[in-house]
Formats: sequence, structure tokens, C-alpha cells
Amino acid sequence: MIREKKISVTELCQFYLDRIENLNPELNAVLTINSEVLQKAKNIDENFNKYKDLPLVGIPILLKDIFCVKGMQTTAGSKILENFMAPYSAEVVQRLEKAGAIILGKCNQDEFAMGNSNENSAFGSVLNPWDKNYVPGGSSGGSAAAVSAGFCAASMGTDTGGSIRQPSSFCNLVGIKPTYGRVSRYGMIAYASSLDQAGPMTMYVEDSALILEIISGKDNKDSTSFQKEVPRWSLCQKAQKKNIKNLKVGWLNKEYVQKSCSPEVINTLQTVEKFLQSQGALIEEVSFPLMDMLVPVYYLISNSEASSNLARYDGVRYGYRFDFKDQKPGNLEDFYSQTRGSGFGDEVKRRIIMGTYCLSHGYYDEYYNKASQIRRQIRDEFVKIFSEVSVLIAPVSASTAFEFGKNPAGSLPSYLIDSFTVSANLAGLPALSVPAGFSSDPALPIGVQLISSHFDEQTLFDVALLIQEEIKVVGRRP
Amino acid sequence: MDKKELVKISRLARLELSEQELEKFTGQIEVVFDYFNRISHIDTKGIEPLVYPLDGVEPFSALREDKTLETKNKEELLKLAPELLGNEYKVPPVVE
Repeated sequence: MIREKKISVTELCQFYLDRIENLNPELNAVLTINSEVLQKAKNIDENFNKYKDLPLVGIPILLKDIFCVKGMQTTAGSKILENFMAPYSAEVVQRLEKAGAIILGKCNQDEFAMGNSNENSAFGSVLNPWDKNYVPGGSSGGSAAAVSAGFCAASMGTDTGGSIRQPSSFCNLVGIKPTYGRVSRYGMIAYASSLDQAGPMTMYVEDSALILEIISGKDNKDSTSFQKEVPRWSLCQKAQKKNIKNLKVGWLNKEYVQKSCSPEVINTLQTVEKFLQSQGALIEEVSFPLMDMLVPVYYLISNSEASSNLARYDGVRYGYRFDFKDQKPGNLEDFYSQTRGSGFGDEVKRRIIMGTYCLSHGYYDEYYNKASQIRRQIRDEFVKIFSEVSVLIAPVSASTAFEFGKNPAGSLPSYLIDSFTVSANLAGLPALSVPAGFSSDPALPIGVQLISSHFDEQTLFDVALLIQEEIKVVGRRP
Repeated sequence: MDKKELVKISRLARLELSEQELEKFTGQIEVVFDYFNRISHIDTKGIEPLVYPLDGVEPFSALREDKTLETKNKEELLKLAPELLGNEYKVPPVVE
């Protein structure tokens, strides 16, 4: 539409800015607006011929506040980074801008990406646009609420244990966590470095494929990003409907799903299963005996890595520093402890404590090392599964979005919510959530999860596109 | 994990916790670790821990060429500090 000059970039940006001004005070999805938006939009409009062939020319995008944007406040949802002005932009941001996108602003999130409801932000909770008594999911809750409320064309989130896929499922979006190492983590505030990945959150599968293609690829500034050519996933919009005859699809732990998920989630999965079968796919049940170990292994590892990554927040070189007023701290240790004790929220503190404990002398073998051994067993089990099937279907979550306060942070139930999503992070596999159904009372979105083998985002996009076209839940707005 | 252990850990983590927090967190973390302890039932004899998730699937090296690079934006970085003394970060005494 921009290329056909039916709307100017300035008009489009103004439209989104107006919507944010009107609806964000209640939803609280957006934390900061980029002051240069209209200036950048004007520049593109006035020099359109220069920019018109860029793949994302003039597309307004919001970013989870975990991505550094040079000159903009970057908080990761935390008081300890309040007023922190990033001195450089994340690689993902640089690639989006090079492709012509306009960074509209930053989205609210669970503090340091720790949470699955966006109730753990130092800047207040985010409301689900579908029903404001319900959470949008997390930790990329602001990013999800923003797209579904029409605040931007697309947003960026991060996924360490399900933080893109779960809020996407709760808000009727397409959300993908790519293969570990597909997208550079440079400039993305770290939570758990062996699990974190960035990914787009969009209304449609085609948009997701296009944005992922643009941000993917080796970055020398992130040694964990791999050197593989980025496939042309964006071509899926022009391609014919993919023929999935004889595609081997696995339904992961069907028995466990039927015992633990709500009837509506099960129903949605069965509808997708029947549809894929009707297209010639071969569905088989796949068992995963280590299912009960997924959440413990995930949290023991992620908390340990987080305790190390968050050690840098000490009030010395940047960010919040405790105001001792006239009382000087006795020594450096007190200074650190008071700053961190008052700058971090409860859930962050709990996870740092748990992680420090796991890594401490006498417990390292029993917890961190043991969990990492089981992680290898989990990863290898998936590799074996993918020698038999091409893609797995599973729930994203046992239920739709829940009400505020239903799963208090730090409680075991709040961690078990992640049961279906952490597997992909532990094994480094690409996984996607695509809208596939709705609950009835209240009407809340239900996404279905697709998981494929390392480097095979293509199959995820192919199958998701078919689901999008057939089930027609994608694209609905609250 | 009991409260005494929690105090010890909070010191290691340089995290000041109030009496209230110590009480609350001890209870919460105990319940959670009770559940996490199930990992001890898995036989992991001879299994190498996995840290890089694509280990064995994709080569990985954290090394780059041993060439000195310069920080080009030192001034900009220093400006982020809450308190400076000239070109240095000002902090309370490390040792009395």
C-alpha cells in the first residue's frame, strides 16, 4: 500500500501514534515513543524513490524494551535500567532500519524477560486487548498487546522459555522463535544466553516470514549466530499452497495433552490435526518420556545463567543507583547490595537467588550440571524424533489467557505454565505459534504450536500458512 | 533451602533482602525446589552436559582474530555513569 502511494508513511505513522495516544493509557503496552518517528517518515516520503525498493519501507514497528536502540530509553521492564539511554542499537534494530522500517517505540515486558503474564514489569501490567481482565501473556506481553490492538504493523519480541509464542497465542498473533543462533543477540539485553532468541510477532504468517528473513543471518558480534545462508522464507506469500501430502506430523505426548489441557485447547488441536490429515499429512503420536523434566531443567539452567548475566547491574557504570542520601554506604559490597536489592523486582530477585544457589559450591553438580546433562538427553531425543517426523504439533499453553493474579509470580503453577514451550529453547529448535481457535466465554484466542528440526523454519511457515488460510482465525482483531 | 542458606546466597549474589523478603522467598523457593529435585531420578551416567544447544549439530567458536580493537565511543559511555571523578567511575571504598 505504501509502494502504491495509497497512503504516505507519515499518514501511516500518525495513524498508529494516534491509536497509541488514545488506547495505550489503559492497555499500557507501550513504554516509550521514538521522538524521531515523524521526521523519519517525512524523510522517506520526500525521498521515496530512493527508499521504495527496501523490503520494509515505511513499516512502523514496535520493539520489546529489551532491544537497545541508540539514543532511546531501554529498560527491559526494570527500575534498575530506568532512564538508561542505550549508546548503540541492537543488530536486529540495525537490520530492520536498513530494510526501511520505522522504529515507533518500545514495548512493556516482564522485567528482564522473567515471567509469562507481563505482571512482573516495574512499569505496571499490560492488559489483553481481547478482554482487559485477562493477561496478554509474557514476557513479550506489551509487544503482543500492541500488535493486536493495532498500535503498529508488527513488533519484535524475545523468547527464552516461550515468551514470544505464549503471548502470541493469548493475543491471536503469529509468533516464531527461530533456531538458536539464527538471529543475532547483539544489543539484546541478556536473560539466559543459551536460550534467548529474538523473533517477530505479527498478524499474518507472511509478515513473520518476511521480517525473520530480514533480521536473520551471521553477525560477527554474536559468536553464537551461525554461518548459514538465510532461506527465502518471504517467498511463501507468492508461492502456491504447499502440498503436504505424506508430510509426517507428530502429535507430541497426546495422552499428557488430553489430561492437562482445557477442552477448548484440545478441540483446537484436533481441528488442526483433522485439517492436516485432510491435506494428506500422516499424523502419528510421538511420546516424550522426559516431559516432567522440562520445566525443572529449564528453570535450573535459565536461573543460573540469569544470575550471571544480571551481575553487571550494580549501579556503577550505568542505570539506577540507590540513593544513600546522607548515610554513606560502608563499603562497595553494601553499595551493590542496596542498589540491586532496591532496583530489582521480586521475581528477578527470586531467580537470581535460585540461580546463585544452583551454581554455588556443593550444589553445582546436583543442580546446574545435572540439569545440563538432562538437557543433552532432551535435545538428543528431539533429534531422534525429527529423523521420523518433519514437524510436531502441540499446545502453546494448557489454556487460554488467564485472569490477573491467578498465577502469582514465584509459585509452582506459574512456572508450570511453560511446560509446552521450554522444550524448543532447551533443544535450540525453531517453534511457532499460529492462531487456530477461540474459547467461547470469554472469547479468547488459542494458538497451536508447531516445532520443527534445527534450521527448518521453512516447514513451520508452510504449515502455518495452510492453517492460516483454512481455519481463518488469523487476522481477527479484538 | 532454609532461611540461613538464603541469607548466605543473598550475600553471594550481592542482593540486599529485607526480613519480610527473606521469610517470603524462603517459603516460595522451598516449594519450587521440592519439585525441581525430581531431576535426581534421571540416570545421567556418562552424559556430557549440554551448554551450546547446537553442540554436535553446528560448529561453534567463540574466538575471533587476536587483533586489538578500539572503543570508539568512550565519552558517550562515560556519560551514562551516575557518578564520575574525571574519567573514572566513583564508588565507595572497596577496603576500609
